[in-house]
Amino acid sequence: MSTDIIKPEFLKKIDNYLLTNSPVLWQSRIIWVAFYSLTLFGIFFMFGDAFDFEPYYSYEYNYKYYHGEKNDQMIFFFIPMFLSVLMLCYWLYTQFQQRIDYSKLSLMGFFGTVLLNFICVGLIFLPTFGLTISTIDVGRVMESSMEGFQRVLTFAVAASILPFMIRQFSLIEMVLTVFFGFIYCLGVMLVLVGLLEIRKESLTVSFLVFNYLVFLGYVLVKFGNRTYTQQTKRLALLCVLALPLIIPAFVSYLGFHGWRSFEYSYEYTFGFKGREFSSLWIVSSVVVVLAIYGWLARFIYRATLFPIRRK
Amino acid sequence: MNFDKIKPEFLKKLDQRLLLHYPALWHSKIIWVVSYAVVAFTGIYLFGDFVDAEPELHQYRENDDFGWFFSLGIFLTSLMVIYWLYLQFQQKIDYSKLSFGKFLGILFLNYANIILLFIPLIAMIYGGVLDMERDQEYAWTSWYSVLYGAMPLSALPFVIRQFKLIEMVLTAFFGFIYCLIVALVVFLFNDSFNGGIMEQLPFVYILNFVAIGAYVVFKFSAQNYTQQTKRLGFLLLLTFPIVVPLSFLYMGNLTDWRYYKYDLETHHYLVWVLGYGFVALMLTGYAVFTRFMYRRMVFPGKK
Amino acid sequence: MNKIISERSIELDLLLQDENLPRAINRLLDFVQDFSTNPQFVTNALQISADQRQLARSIEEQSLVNYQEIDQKNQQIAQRIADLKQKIIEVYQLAIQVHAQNTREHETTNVPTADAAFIPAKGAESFPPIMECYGLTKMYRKSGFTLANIDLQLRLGEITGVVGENGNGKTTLFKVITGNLQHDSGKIGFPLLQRAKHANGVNWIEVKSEIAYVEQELPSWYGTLKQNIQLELTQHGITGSQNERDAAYILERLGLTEHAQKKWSELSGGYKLRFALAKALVWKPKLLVIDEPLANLDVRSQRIVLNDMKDLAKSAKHPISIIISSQHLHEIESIADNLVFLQQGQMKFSGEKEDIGSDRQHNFFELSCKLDKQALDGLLTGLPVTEIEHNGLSYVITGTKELEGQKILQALLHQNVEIEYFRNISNSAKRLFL
Repeated sequence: MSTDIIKPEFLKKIDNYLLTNSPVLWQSRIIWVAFYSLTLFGIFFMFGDAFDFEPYYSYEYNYKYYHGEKNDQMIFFFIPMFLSVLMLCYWLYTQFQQRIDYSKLSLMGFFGTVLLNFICVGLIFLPTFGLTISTIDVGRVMESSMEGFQRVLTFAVAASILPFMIRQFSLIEMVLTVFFGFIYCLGVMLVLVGLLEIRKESLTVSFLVFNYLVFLGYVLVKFGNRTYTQQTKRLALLCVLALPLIIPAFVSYLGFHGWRSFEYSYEYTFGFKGREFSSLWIVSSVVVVLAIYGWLARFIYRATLFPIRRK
Repeated sequence: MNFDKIKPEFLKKLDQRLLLHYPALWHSKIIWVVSYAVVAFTGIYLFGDFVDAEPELHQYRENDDFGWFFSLGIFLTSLMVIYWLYLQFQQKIDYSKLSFGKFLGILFLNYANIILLFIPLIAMIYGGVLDMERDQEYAWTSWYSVLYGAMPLSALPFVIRQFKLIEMVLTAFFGFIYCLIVALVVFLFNDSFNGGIMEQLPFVYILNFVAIGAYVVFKFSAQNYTQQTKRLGFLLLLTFPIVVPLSFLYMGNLTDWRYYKYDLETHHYLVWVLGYGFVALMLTGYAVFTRFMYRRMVFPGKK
Repeated sequence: MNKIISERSIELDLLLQDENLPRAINRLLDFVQDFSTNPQFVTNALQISADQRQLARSIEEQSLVNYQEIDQKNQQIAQRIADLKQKIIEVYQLAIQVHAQNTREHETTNVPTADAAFIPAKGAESFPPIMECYGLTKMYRKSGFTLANIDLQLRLGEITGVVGENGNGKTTLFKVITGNLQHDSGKIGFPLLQRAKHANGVNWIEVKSEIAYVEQELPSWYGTLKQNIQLELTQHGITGSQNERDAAYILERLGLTEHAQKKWSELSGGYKLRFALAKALVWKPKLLVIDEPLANLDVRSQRIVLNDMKDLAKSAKHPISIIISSQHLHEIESIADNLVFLQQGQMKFSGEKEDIGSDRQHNFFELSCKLDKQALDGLLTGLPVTEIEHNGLSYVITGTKELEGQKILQALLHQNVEIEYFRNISNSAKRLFL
């Protein structure tokens, strides 16, 4: 599927310049992502309100009756969000297409690349954001939409590191790795909560966090010693994808969010309790996660330059 | 990823026998799906209630069961469906010489496979994992969505080798965009959402579907199809289960359905008959269209 | 048909005399396939092959080093081959007699004849072509490349080699004749494969089920290799014990039994091609189209694959028409009956390989030696040489039709020139590239 027809000439020239001078920037496709996202954001922000359902104002009860407004959330939030996820898949596919040599990048270079990837991911969701804020009129619906954004972005942060790893796995391998990761976690929870009847959240979450740290330690040792196998790489993929789920636990360990710590940590992270996009969320679930990703990406990428041990 | 070690020997022998005698059954991987469904259903039915959260007075903890067990179960089973589709993609099977009856049979077999993968979730309702009536109702609603969503997936194994994965993703994406644009255009000509657009929009979608369908059928009949035509055919396959119910809106006045509603409430079997009859009808429609497309694609296309 | 069976019998005897057991076993397997319907004979032949393979492995692993013992075992295997061949000939001749008797009786008293399908087909040349095309043209609008006016006939039992530089239309031609790409103009037909006329010309549903296409880029297989072969058989309606036998036969025949339980990723490039061939040949297609098979093969594997294709194409019972493209001109010429040379989408030559250069005005020779061009020119003074060119690898000597290879060699040997390579390419496809 060729999209050359809809690409402006001046951008093609910039793209060519990046290709010959800065391959990492070129590979991220930042100029195309930025161009289309900002354009669509502008259009949706300015004209979106012309197409949505307007809530009925009930003068008798002094209330905005938002039955029709609920349809806005489906049409202007959920569906565009789904389309944005498809675009994210396409962006990941473009990252897979070319083999880029990151081996000579410094640590700051890796941080920068991870941040660049995150910006691309954020830009992909920007048009949906513009559509939402211009079309959703009722406060409660807007709040739930923003919580949805926060939830999606929390997981989408993991897409920032995938371009470094995506060529190491086939697609079905990644699907099955995620699947068995979930099964494992479910199994652990069933044993702890179901069979051992440990109902205290702090214990169950701490056990999972401890489990995670053990696996992460194992992966780091294996990569450090260059004795990793394809199974170790799959485990590394799982650790990378699960990091956004582990960070809120550490936020709670550090004393934030009060006495109902774990529950509140996760609720704030996934946007259940209002205060969307709080500074704590930005620091913990974005900045810290990206920093860890940058370091992990460099460590694992440089280790994989050494030959793998095959059974 | 090799699962040979966990496969029982007797099933491997049965699998080998199917390979030698019934390649369509072998390819559908029905015996593995059935064994998984039976084992998972039995496990969840017998042991599910031991591991779930029992409802307390304000059912707050019970809500966790729906999220942890059912929603997560749907997600994991969806991943399994993706893996099953990947297994269908692995082997190139020649369906061109099959009669319509056999083709329809394979379509039903594919449908049965997908439904079987989701069957263990039913055990959560009957096995005592979901204790609250409201959760059970949500679960049944999700189940009906599964029955519905499995229909286009049943036809995918016939056409999956014609497209790359990214091609399918982008085709679905641009299909959505096109539908949104159609809705916007209809809205521009009719800026009232009350009565006007909600009556016109389904009709416009049906008209679009029929027009594109006719174009695709014509192109395939004349052996004049290209990869673009195939993508349009793929879109039609995906949107078929959406368009058909829309057309029911035009079968008589909507308010007259209230008489049928009374019958359905008193005669529950009618719900089953109508529901599964609808599924059978849809699958037959799929078989007709997919077989037509498949046999035409045996003939060379233009590049 | 008696003539064919006796020729094949003599061939087997000669191979046994030469103690060329591996080749003898391959020909025995072909012999059984062509002249026997008794499954027991097939099983016996497969057992002999397995035993010989086991013996070869023992010798290789040096677990059997006693020369006398090896010789004795080889002789036993040779004797078993000869015995089995004799049994097959006896049964076959008996069947011929019974068939002849029944035919006479049928003509007088309407007695049902013996199963005539047992009797191998008559010579393939008496059949119409399996594929014929006239004026076949295909144009790619984007690049402007056109495959133009291709006239071609493919017959059972014949091997057609398609040669030409890269990007000259070989793969396009193959895609058109296998029904994967539609041509723009011209006619294409499959007289032997299509039972009835079809509204749109070719009934590809019927025709494609008799064509096997092995592409240049082999797709990955999933599951074990044997399973893939068996699935291919089942899809062509061969089930149950017949399926097992046919799969075992083709694996043994192509020397792949040891690798049958492996996965695709565990194979080298050469074995991948051989398995792809096995999958294509196991269900006995009428037309085999194979694109650049020799590219990834070592010299030994090339020889094996080419011999196998030649043997299987000329099968008495199930002859196949093979069309094969390759850049290995010498190897292709060694097995091809006909050659097609494509240049920029045009068919510059098509016909029997013996006809190449039949209308030539010059003779061409390839020579590799340590002499420089001037010295060589001096040595060949007096011979009717018109041009000497170096193409980077060797000299190409062009002369009139009176220029003979022996005279060039005499001139060089007289001066004690060390000759690395010499070949008369006047009748070879190589001259088409000059």
